Amino acid sequence: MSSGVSKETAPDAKSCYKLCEQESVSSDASRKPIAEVIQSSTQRVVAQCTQRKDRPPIALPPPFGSLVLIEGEPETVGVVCSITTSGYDPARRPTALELPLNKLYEEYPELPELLVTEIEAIPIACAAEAGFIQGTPPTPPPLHAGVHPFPASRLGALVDDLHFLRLIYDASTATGEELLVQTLRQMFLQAPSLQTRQEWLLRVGKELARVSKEDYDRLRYILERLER
Amino acid sequence: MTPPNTRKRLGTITHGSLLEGLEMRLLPEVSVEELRAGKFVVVEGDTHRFFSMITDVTLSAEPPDILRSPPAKHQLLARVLHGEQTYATVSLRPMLMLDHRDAAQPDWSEEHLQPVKTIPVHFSEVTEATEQDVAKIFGREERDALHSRFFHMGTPLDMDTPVCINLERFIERSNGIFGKTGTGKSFFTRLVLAGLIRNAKVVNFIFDVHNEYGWGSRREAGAGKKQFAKGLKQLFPDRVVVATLDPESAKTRDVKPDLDVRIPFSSIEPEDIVPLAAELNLPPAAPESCYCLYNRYRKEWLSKLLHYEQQELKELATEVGAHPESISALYRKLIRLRNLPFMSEKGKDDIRKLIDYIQEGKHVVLEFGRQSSLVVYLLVSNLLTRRIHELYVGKTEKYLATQDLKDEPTPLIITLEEAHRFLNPVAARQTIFGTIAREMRKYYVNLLIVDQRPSGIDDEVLSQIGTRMVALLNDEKDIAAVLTGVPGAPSLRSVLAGLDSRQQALVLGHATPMPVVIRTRNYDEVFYESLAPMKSAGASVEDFY
Repeated sequence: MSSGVSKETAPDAKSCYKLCEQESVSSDASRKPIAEVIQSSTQRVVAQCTQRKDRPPIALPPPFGSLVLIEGEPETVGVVCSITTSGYDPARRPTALELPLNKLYEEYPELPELLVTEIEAIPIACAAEAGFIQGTPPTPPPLHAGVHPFPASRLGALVDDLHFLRLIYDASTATGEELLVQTLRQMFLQAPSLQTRQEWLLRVGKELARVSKEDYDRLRYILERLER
Repeated sequence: MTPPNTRKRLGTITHGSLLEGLEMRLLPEVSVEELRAGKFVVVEGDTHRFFSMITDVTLSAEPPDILRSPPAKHQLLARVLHGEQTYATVSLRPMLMLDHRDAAQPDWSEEHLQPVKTIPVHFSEVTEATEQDVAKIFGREERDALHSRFFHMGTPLDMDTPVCINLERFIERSNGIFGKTGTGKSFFTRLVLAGLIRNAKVVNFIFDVHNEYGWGSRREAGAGKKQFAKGLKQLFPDRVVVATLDPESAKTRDVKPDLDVRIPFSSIEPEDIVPLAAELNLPPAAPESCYCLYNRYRKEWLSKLLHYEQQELKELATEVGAHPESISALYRKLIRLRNLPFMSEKGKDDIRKLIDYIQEGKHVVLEFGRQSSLVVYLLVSNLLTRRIHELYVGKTEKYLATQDLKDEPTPLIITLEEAHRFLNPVAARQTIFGTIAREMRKYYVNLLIVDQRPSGIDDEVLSQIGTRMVALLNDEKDIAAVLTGVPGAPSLRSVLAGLDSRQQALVLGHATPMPVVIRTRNYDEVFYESLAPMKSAGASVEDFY
């Protein structure tokens, strides 16, 4: 797999996601994972974000709704559906420190060691020889596999087939329409041109209309959010 | 044959029934506004090609919730829904089918076409008809031939290929041209008559009550508005005879008729008077009185009656054995016949002359000039048609006896305007026209009915009409009437209602393989030119101006 994404692909993207990618490219040319799988099933993958000692905050998780690529044979594509930061030791509950964020790590340099950020991702596709096979992967990603931001260069191949929308649509019942809207937003930000973006928007819209069938209000809400 | 993939695709068949027709789902990329009722399309089934006509177009939305809060036209949502959740369905009426094996042969013709006995399979592809389809189905006029079986009437709405009617079949039955006033009925009639004179082995007798067929007539619209269109006499000087009942009017209009028709009283028989009962407001006993007089005086009955003075009528009544009051009433009603300029006491009977023209194979246009009152029209047309009827019955019987092809009568077509006056349910049973419309086919006489109020015509007559050419009609009753006895009538209603008010007509029936909406041909120089090969060598049309 190629390493990260070049800056030109999404010049106007200001999302965390982009920042995250640039970071990964600059820090390690041979791609350093942003997280590591600590719990794996075909339905849900939990990964712990990699500690970032060079620059606080401790970990920079991929944003909610973004696509990630999980190492393995085959590679699995997931959608980040949940991000949680909590204390390392469940028995020790963090307490308020009443310090501004920029002072926090100076005063408590051990803090990164005590906190842990976890992401959950829904597997939606796995890599194949030509592009991707959409749907729940045949096997879950291996434990301790590295998790990478999904490279924009391969986005075209993924969007060729929009069946994954159904999985996200079904999964998003728990999070309202947010997951779906955020996932698509993240994707559109990576579109190589405005025209492609418009085309994707229309194609995604049509697929969603098929998926949502009787739920016209939901479709309308999602599309209005996306259009803005 | 045009391979299916070169035709423009329109949609796929989703529903269908032999009775109700087919339903097509329109492809999202085809705009519903491109489709017109009456458009000619082709459905490619598994084993057959179905030639069909668009009869209705519907917008649909699923789920219906969409319509509760519809998106704005240019919103993403509208574009997303277009084609799948919001779509157009098109009703089609299959009219003819063609086996794919026949269609594969380059020289398939209208003889290979079959009536529709089944429907295409699910998801059959619907495409636009090609010019070639139209040419094959509706035939082609052979311009250079002396007689062409086909006559070019117009073109389909969105094509330039000629649509022809089969004249051989046209003259086999009575036909009708309908449309409300101002829709171009007269031009359409003139077109048909010119076609018949040019191409068919037939004799026409035209009751020209508005003086518009024999000589030029003013155009009401179109490119040549305010110009004059040529009449049949100008187009076919040697083959058309113009007769008039009103030489004065002809003179004023600068028309040179071939014959001033004079009708002696002796030509009128009681049968000619009886159909006028309603118009003349004749008393119920009038027919008996007429027959009483006729029995006594034979041919002289009418002139005898009209020459009596009012006070002497009692005498006459006693003489013929009729009721004096009844004779007196009859006298009062019929006295106006004496004032008609074309009626004469005695002398030549021009009816005989008109019949002779017909026998010679000349086409006769009888102009009424200013004598276009209903009574005159009814009297004269009834009188003449009865004679013609007798003539043709005689001729046919002779032919049946000799079985010699030389004796076969040339078919005669009588063009009748305001036909509902003769063919309304009451009159159709009394006048000769009812008989002709119903059964004279066997005797080589048919009617060309021109009318703006078809609902006034007797159903029995309407159901016998072979070919109908229908311009715009608005009245529901009229639409129902012209579609009497037509299979798939409900689907054709919308087609009829959607016609333009000018130069468009639905042609259906015996002379055309399938109903078709046409833009009628222009009646102009190009048309005159196309009639040329049949024109006699010496006389130029201009000479007649």
